[in-house]
Amino acid sequence: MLALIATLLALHGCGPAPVGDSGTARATDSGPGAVADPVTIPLDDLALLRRRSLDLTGLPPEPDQVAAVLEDPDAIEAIIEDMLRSPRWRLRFADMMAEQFLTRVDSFNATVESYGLDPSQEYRFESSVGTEPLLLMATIASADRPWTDVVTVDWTVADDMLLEIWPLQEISLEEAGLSDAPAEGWRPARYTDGRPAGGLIMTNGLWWRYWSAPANYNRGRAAALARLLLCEDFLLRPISFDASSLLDTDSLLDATSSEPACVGCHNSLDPLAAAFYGFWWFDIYAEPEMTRYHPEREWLGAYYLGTSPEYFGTPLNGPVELGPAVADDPRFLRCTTRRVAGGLLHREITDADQSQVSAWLDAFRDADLRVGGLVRAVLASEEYRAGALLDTASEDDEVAIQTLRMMSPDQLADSVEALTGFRWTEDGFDQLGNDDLGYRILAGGVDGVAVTRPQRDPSVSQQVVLRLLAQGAADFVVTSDLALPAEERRLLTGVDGDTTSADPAFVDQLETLHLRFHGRPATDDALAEETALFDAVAAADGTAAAWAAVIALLIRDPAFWTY
Amino acid sequence: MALDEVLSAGAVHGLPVFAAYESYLEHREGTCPSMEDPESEGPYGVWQTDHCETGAGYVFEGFGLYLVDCTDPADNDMEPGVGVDSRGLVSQYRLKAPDGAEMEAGGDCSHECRFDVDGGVSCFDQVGGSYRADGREPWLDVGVEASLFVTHEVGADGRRTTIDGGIGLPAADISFREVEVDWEECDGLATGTVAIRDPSGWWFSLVLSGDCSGYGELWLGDQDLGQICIDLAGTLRDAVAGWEQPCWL
Repeated sequence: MLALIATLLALHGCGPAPVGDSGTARATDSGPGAVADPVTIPLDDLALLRRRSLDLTGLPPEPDQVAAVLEDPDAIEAIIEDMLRSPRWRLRFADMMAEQFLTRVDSFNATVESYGLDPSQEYRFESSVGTEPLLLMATIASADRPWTDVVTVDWTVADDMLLEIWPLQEISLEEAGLSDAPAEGWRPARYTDGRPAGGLIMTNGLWWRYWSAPANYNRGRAAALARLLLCEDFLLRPISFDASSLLDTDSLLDATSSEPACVGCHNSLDPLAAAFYGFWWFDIYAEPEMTRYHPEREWLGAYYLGTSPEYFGTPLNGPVELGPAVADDPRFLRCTTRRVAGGLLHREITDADQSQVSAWLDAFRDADLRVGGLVRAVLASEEYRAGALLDTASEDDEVAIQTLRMMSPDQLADSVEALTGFRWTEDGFDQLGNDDLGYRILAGGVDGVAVTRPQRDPSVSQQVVLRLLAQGAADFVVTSDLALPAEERRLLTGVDGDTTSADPAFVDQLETLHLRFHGRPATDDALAEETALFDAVAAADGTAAAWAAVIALLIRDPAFWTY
Repeated sequence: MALDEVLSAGAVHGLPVFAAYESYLEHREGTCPSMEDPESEGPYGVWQTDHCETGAGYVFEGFGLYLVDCTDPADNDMEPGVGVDSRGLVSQYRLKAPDGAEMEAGGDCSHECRFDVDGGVSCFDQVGGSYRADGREPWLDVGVEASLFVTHEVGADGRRTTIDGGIGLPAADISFREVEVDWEECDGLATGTVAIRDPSGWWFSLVLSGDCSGYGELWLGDQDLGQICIDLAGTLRDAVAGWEQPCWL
């Protein structure tokens, strides 16, 4: 579907396009992702700027960035470096990992009521809990620190709410080795309940999402760690066994230690599960149990699972050695490479990508395990820069290479807010950030439980949500802009309520809007269509409604929500 | 050292938890808290409430389930001759007394002893979860996090107690791995491993020698740190002796 949209956009000259209006598409770098014989046509400079901007900041490029690239295509490299240093990159990295770590779910076993908080805080509570592990990763990724810190640091990140309800103590930026705060309202903090250092794998947010049912004995958590951090999915291992032996509990338990097909996994899964008993809850809904880490339970795996903690055959002297064990595991860096590349390429990286992954991993290592080095390598690859496929592309290339991407709900919400000031909320719930009282899944996102992979192609439901968002944002910005002096407005800076389409300022305003929303100058056809729309609506409902219609159209245009 | 501090706090087991809970639930009044079975008496039964306060000022918040079975062997139709003394408590609550004292708990706690016609006693005691009750010296008052599983057997081949799991007190976190106390030898001969946790997360393991000296070898990983002595039997003695007293007598 997106390939079809790309073709249509290219025909109309109004979207991301290979060798587009600026006419400045250049040969791809011979970066790690490049292959001997290119199979793609690269994006032109403006489309590439917009793609990189949306992937690194979650927002379309600023007008001055567009102007800089129009003037000098090489300016894009400096712009990327600025983006990688910006707080927006941190938030974007967290959003990118959210689609893979799936911690931003709509409910946890503990609720706002468990902590005596006002029910109106529900969305913020769930969002803060789910964001903790993601923002910790993002903070490490954006700081000048090796990625292995993600599983070894003795601190996490927290906002005011988490600092209030969890056993956390704020620490200084200096103590955490950071130069600035993780995000607005978030600070580095250290748990005070005796949990060992371990970064991400010692966060409540991760293990609230991946909690253990009593009869699961933390095996689900062990499988989650292996899947998320090592890209080693126990559940994908093919097994064959006599199902009739598993019809009663005793046989089932016995099979995990005697049935060869089961032992293959459980010999490594169970000792890893034994490392998570500090997070074991005797009551899975009791706030004191969930809130605190329980050091005295660290050896409880020996009682429940009959094994002490081990990391794939290496005994651990408690969970204190788990983080360093992950950091030393070569699968950890390779898996990180796959996850970051997958986030930027908007597809799942598979075993078929081994050679590319190895090249990106080399770049990651060459950058002393700084994520920025890995990101630069992926951004330079042929696949990332692809705007269309050549005839030489194979069927596999056609399936794998995303020449056009659809904005995620996060990108959509953030971009619309940045441009219009409109954040779509209802009773405190971000409408594109949840599914309790929102439309995250319908907009193409994941809820982390029922839907675990983002939608890559447009759908009817996504278009319905987009229409509602566009109408709300357009009405909001037009109403607020026309009530303000021109110098204080967000978008309608060159017109007022009396401006007609015959005024020179009208076309100037339309062109400015195009640059803001679509990151490139408007085509004559587009200007003509929008002028006709403006005139029709203005005649029926007035100028304000006409501007709202035009802005809603710009938002609903695929040139806005694809890149 | 911290290990002695934990042991001197006394044996962590279910009965003090039940006693603390009962001291609050005995003051329930009408529908505060709302019992699932309105006919239930005293502290027994299931309740759930967001918040309620009795006329006397007792406050109940959360969920509790407390069941007791005290069956005289003479009345046991299911298993003639077998006496049962069991209690089970599921905790997810915060309780307050008019004097400001509080009990807060989350977890499962159970205790069951079976008494057979030959004088044999077989007990299993589990304290799992987080418990704190003001004024309940020594360990409930400061708050305990526990994952403790204790068996106690009295039979023809003697008296034995086994301990697995852990205890977390402000003083330290300790863990028991296959610890066994044989009460027939030197008034309580302990074997197995007791480990104590350094605040940074490292565990020091005391491997009990299995002789009557009470000494054990202290290890950090494979590093032998020398011998130390603990009196585990002294901590347990009174508690398990109490378990051997049937509830119907």
